[in-house]
Amino acid sequence: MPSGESALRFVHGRRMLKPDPVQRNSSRVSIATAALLPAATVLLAAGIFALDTVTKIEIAVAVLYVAVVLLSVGFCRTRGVVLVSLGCIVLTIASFLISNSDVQLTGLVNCGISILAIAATGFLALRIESAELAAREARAQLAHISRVTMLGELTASIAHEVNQPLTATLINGNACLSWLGAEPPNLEEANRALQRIISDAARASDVIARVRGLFKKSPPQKHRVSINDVVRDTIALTRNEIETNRVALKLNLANDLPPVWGDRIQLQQVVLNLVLNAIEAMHDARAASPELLVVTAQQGADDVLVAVHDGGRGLDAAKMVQLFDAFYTTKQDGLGMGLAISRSIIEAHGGKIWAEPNKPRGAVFCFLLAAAPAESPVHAMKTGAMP
Amino acid sequence: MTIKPSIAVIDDDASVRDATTGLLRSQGFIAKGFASAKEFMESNRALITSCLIADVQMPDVSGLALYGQLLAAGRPVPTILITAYPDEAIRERALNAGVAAYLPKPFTGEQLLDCIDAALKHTVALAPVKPSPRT
Repeated sequence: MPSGESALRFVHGRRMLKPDPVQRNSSRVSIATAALLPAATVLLAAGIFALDTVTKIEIAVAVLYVAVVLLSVGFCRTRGVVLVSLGCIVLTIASFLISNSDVQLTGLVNCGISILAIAATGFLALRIESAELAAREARAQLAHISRVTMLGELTASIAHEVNQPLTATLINGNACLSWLGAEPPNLEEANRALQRIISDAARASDVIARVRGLFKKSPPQKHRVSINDVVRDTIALTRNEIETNRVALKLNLANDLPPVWGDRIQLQQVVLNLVLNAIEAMHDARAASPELLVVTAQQGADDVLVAVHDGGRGLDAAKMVQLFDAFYTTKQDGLGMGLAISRSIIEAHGGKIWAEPNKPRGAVFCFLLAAAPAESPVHAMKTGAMP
Repeated sequence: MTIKPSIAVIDDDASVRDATTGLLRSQGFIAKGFASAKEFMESNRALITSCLIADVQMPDVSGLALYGQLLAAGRPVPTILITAYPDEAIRERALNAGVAAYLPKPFTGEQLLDCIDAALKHTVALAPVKPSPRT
């Protein structure tokens, strides 16, 4: 088993891989928005400024700044959009002052129109941005509420189903004692009460078995699974959260990983849970430039490592193990089930899951799975599995 | 020889019903179980029942509604409501309507017997069951 520290060093020592076609959908978009868009916007603004200042065209060239404002919505928060709009207005006035040494009416009118257009665009862009944000938040809230409600209903119905046989057992116990304490003891009735206790206890354990069955609808469907595919598919599911929280995503996926033997959906659940936790941790810590790094790597000859790094507040070293206990949560509205379920999935796959501190801050959640044994060519053909 | 009070147990859950009637018989009561309020009302048992133990949540007629029907028919019976879904509002409404006890499941046989002792001494106040404020 590799020590946590060596796993970390390994992670940081690995170069970023070229994004492949699937990755393009997720990480490349984020990288593009992180670097290319601001650069393009600045170039555009400079171009418009030059055009507006140098040319003597009798039209309001500065109106084109609205494009700059609209582009800025793609990478700026509210304050940024306001600053960009103000910047554009300043540039418009500067051009006007430079190019019209003798103030003319047309120039003044054009300048006024441009400023109005920029201000109106900035205002509308902010309105749309905040409406979109509110809609996203409402959706997330709704998802959380429905999850909690479902759990509440489930708990109530389990409580009811267990309550009935439990009540019957208690009453039967008292009845049995009375029959035995009677003069003379009524053994036949006592016997009947005990029989009822046994069948009530059996009924209660049936309920438990049914509840277990509910969460384990079918035995895990184990196949050869590419862990990189699992990570990419999951990241695609969390794009909304990543964009809403303006998280810079980095995927560092090892090229030549052996497949693991597991249930794709269950493994996706684990990765999803770790990724959402990471985003939430950075959101709660109000990280200035939240950065999410997901790494896959081969460990030793037979193990595959997945590590999710966040730049959140980090974890109390004493609570690293407790984190995975059911109903333990550090979140205000958390259920404390996510990591417990993740652990049970990883352990059912014969793997290991743990948390460690990230550097310089935040946490790393890692899990390790055994690589699938090499498949014979005949078997591979039968199952249609990719080599 | 004193005549033992007759107690009716109305619960759609057979285990709870059988356990309860069993306990009552072990205490010397005459006990009879019914799976629904309708079954109880259609039996002649209603006339000689000294105490009623009824589940709150039952299909068709709830325990509280049954109590209301008996009151309305001028045959108030000391009633103990039992429930697997305790609800403060319903408890209050039931006790205001004159129900002798409101017992959340699970409860022990002893708790139930204590309630029966109290209920048999309980005189039913002739107050109508108020309709649920939610409906």
